[in-house]
Amino acid sequence: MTGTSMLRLRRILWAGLVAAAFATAAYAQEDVRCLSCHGKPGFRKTLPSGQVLELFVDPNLLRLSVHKDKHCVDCHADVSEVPHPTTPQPVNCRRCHYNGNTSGAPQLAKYLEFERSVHGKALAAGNPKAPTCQDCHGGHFILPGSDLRSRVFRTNIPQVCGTCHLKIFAEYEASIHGKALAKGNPDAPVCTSCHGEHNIEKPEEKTSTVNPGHVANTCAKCHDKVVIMEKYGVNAEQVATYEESFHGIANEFGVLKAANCASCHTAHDILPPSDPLSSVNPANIPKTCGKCHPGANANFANGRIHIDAKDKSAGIVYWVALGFKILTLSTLAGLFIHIGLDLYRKIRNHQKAGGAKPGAPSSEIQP
Amino acid sequence: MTKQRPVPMVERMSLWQRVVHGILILAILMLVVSGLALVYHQHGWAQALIAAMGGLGGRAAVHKAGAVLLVLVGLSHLLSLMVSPRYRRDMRESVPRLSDLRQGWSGVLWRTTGKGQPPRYGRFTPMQKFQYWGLLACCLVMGASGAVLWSPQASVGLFSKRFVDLMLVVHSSQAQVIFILFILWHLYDIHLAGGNFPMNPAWLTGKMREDLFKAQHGAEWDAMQKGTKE
Repeated sequence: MTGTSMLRLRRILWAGLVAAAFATAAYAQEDVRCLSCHGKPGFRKTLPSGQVLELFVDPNLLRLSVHKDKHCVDCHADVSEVPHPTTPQPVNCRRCHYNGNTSGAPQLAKYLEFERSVHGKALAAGNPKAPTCQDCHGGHFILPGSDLRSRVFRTNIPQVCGTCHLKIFAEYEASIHGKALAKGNPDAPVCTSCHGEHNIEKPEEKTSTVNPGHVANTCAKCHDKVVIMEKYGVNAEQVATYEESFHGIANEFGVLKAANCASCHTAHDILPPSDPLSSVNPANIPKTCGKCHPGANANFANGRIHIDAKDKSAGIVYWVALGFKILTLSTLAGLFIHIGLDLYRKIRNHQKAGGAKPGAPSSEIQP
Repeated sequence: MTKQRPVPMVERMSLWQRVVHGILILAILMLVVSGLALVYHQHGWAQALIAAMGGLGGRAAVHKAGAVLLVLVGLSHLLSLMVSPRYRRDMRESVPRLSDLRQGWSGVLWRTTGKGQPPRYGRFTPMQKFQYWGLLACCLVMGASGAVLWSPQASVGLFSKRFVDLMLVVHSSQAQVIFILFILWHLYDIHLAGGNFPMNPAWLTGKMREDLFKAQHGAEWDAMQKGTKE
């Protein structure tokens, strides 16, 4: 490297360092006033209701978040003086996250789905308990969903949803899915695997992923995948056998009162049939079936529910089906042979009687 | 233009037989269409059929109505056997005999090799006898399994899930055998084969062509000529 180019490199480096120092100073300058109060650990306020509002913001965490380059007032835009005389309005993420924004804030189509979701509708209706972006994604420490520490990282989702949905969270934790997740199983479904993310809708909504008409498809995302199911010894044919059952066919034709997966297996506290507490444990089958079929007795548990007549596990049903299959094919073969022989004789007699001569109609007539 | 001589015809079916045969066709059509639509429910044509019947409930209603109609046909058949000498004669004619096996086999041989004479069948061919008794037996099985499936919910409670599954397999599988052995085969033999094409009109007019009758029921024709039969 020549002396001139070394000199140029040094200058560039110095210029960069100076610029960085100024920028940091500017950041600090702008936010330091906010942090003079909010940067003090233990800064909190007790509301008249008795609720304690934590107002401390850890600047170190903020600088690790996706918004590390933002200033306080970028989000808390209504704060124009310090101390602020009124309580600032909730942050509106849409200030940056909108289509065509120039700040580079990501804007995915799915963000807009929030509006028609159960949460979005509740928020629009003025429900004070309705969650906003921050309730799930966090406020000052927002991280990408792929970051282990993110509130919306896959394994953290049940806890986040559980903040409001306490009972369901407890049921989920005890379920086979919840237990698998606790063991770090990457296949285990979390809330969003079944309910969606920004598009979560009430089960009553026709477009909901957990609408009775869509439950089987939602469960099938994992349960008809042999690659996943064989790891856990679960039969991947369960979806297909359901679709061929009375319930499945009725559901397919829009009879939504017909049982779907969740009707028997429950939605959140799903347990394997071997568990005495499972709704599909043989001892509990009469009770489970009895939800729709009053008076269901032990005979409901006598036989396989997810029966596949093409599989040996169906026992006598398999053998009878196989016998009939052979009988049907033999009968069909018999008919074809019968027709073949009949036509053969007709053609031979026709040839004997003088070929294509029109005066040979008798060759057509035969027993 | 010369006037064509009318083709000589032989009476084959009475008016009452034709009426019952017509109702039987209707019942079987209702059962086959609504049954196949359920078995092949994943196919577009089956879904269109189910929609045309007014959905799953309508489909079930058509199937059950077809079943009731078929039972009525069966009851009327029993009644006819009690009151009608003609039915009793036909019943005697349809009793399977050892000669049917011989005749049936000679029919196969004649078709295959062309040697000897074509078989001379009686009022009913061996296959017709087999189909009459076979269909009767199959209808009893279909009726029994169908009764179990009439209300699956009640039947599971009364018997067991396994038994209802078994009946479902028996019912839907045997329906396919019936379709091939008794419907397709019958249609071929009676309306397509042996010079009957395009149709043996007996099911509408009660009469079939004399030349065909002679060829297909030779022994019966001989007996009629001798005056031992009407």
